[in-house]
Amino acid sequence: MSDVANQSLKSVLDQYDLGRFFDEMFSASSQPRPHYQTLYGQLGDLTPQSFDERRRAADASFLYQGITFTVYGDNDDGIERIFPFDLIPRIIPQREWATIEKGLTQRVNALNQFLWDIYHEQRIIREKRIPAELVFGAKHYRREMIGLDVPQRVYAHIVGTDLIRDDAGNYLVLEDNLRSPSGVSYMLENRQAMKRTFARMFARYGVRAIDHYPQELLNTLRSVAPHHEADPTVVLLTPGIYNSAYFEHSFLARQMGIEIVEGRDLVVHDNKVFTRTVRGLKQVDVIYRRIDDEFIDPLGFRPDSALGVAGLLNAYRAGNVTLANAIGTGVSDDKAVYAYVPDMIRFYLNEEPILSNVQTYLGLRDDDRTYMLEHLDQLVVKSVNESGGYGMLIGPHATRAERDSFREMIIANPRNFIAQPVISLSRHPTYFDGEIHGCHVDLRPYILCGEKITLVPGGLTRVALKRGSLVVNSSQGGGSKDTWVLQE
Amino acid sequence: MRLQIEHTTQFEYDMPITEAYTEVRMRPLNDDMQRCHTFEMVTDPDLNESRYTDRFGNDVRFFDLISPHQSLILTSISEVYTVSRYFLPQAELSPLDLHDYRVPSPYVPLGPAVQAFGQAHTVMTADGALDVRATALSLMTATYRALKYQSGVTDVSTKADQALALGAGVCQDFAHVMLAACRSVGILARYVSGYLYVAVNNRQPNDPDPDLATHAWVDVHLPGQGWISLDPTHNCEQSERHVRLAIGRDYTDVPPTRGVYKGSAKEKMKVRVRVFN
Repeated sequence: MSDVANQSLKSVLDQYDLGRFFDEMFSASSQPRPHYQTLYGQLGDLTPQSFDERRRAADASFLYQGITFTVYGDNDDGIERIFPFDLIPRIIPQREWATIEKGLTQRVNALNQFLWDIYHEQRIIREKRIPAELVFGAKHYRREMIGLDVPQRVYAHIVGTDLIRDDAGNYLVLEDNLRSPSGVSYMLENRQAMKRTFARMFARYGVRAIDHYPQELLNTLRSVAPHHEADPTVVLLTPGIYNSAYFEHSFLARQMGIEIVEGRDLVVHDNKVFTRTVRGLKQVDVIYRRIDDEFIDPLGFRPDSALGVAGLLNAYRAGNVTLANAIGTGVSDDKAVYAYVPDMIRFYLNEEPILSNVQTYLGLRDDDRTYMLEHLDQLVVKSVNESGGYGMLIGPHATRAERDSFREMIIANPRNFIAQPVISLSRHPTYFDGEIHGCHVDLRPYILCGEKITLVPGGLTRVALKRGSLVVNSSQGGGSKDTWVLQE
Repeated sequence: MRLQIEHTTQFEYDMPITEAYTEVRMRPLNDDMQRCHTFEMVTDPDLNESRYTDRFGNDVRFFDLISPHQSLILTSISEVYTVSRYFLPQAELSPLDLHDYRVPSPYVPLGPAVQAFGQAHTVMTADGALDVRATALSLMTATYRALKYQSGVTDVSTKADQALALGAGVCQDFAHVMLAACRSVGILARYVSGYLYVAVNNRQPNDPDPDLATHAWVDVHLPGQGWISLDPTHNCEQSERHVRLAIGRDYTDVPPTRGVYKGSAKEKMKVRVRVFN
């Protein structure tokens, strides 16, 4: 606090160091971009003391509501932390959002067609647009899904796609999350906190609403019920209270007004799924499941799973229940498969991708692998099945020993590694430790896919709170911001 | 040959259990060469049955028994017509089959020992290419010689490399070793589970117990032609005495029964399989 105690927030903002990065708020020192002009003025009018009071009030409300996230470290004991929230919102102009929305709709469309194809005709493989071993050798490719038909051919009903901006401000897709993308509860809670803290500023800015997300999610889930059920029963299936995202599971169930269940609350009989109620068994039509494939049915997958529902896969196959997301979507989360999404868009939609991928080298390709091994000190290397910032080598920051260990792993198992150039992620002014710092941000919009594709404007902006850190995942101690998409 | 099979599986528990789910792969396959004329499945207690065809084309029956019970008996009775020389024409395979029958699978890791074993028995054509049919036959004989038929030395979890190192095993191990050898030299091969008819007065050393006449062998794909079927336990081609029940990458994909139940009770399983002419 001492640095800013005697200044107005305006002078603090004007001293803010842009670095050599694309800054979301400023085009140059003291030069806010047009869509940040009002925020700049209003923040500048505050005293640091009053800003800090509001910040503490917001933090307290998160703690009070128990919004926490478990961080997994080297040992298996999770530490529960408050998800750090930053009061300076990230603002996206409507025309930028329109492009993102079109780009993500296109991408999710192609991914759903890809998923249908690899479990049916395998046309994209027959026509040699993607290597067979990449798809069939993917850890999350599920042979159980061959020939199984899902309502409206939708596999990924809820997608969280991570976008970053490069040093020219271009939006790039960093990864797709088609299994159980989490974080949407933070998006909603951040908005509530912002509305409480900056009620007047918020009202004047013309920010597009996101509060209808739970209703849109429920509409999406209902629209994929089997047999066009008029009033389908939807439940949320959680692994239980020890799961790091349990807060979100219970939050979403409450917001949607649906039951939250664990595996032991459901039972399969005659290929139908029932929930146990005080009045007996009640049939379930749609399961929003937050349990991984391997654990969802001990008969169909891992017999040692105590979390799942025995016989669920057969009820699903018989078309008596819909799972969201479908089983087997994780093949698209494989970072080597990700590299082919632009080709999928061309192949299935006959369109050019609206949003680009980050340039990606595949261990599987000889030329790429040679390049990877020769430039380990300049690249980010990722294991294809890890997420949340685990299993990663950031070449320029790594020690020689770390690079050598990745070199050995790549040579031993090339299919399991990709590499990307180090992207200078865009930065955003962020308040912590009593100062305003430029912190790297990404953006995870949530795409809902049922009868139609819907996005609520914005998403979760994640912030790397460690100085200089490029990792923004919540499991790596990152924070988040409210994300404003403007009406005009 | 017309064969009749009676396959009974009895599950018993030392305490009552609930929510038992069982999948059964017991219906003999229908294809261009083998015909399953009749098939009947009887359960005690009497249960509703549902069925589906899995990704390999196997017939799967599914039962649930959610009320408390201590015993479940599943009996299948089938009548099958077999041919004396089996060849299944299938020139084109799907991309997934081309992948799955060529790469390692849970019971068929392709380690150095297995690779060396495969390489040592390849047969080349005059123009230097791999002679797939001759190599497959050579690998069948090599497997037959490398393993001694002996029950009790391996179990249901033994993998190909372990059986090869041990030099002994039962039909499942013979099949896994031959699969590993084929795949390690680039030949597409799959696991066949089935039954073997043995006439009472004609028992051979490697034949299964007459009260447990289940068997396992290997299909090998000849590019552009189809599948030949080889029995490394007996060093012969699939005969009219072989009944095909299910196919897969290895044993993982084809167990005759697979089940889970709730409760801490201990399960005792008794199986009896009889094949009659």
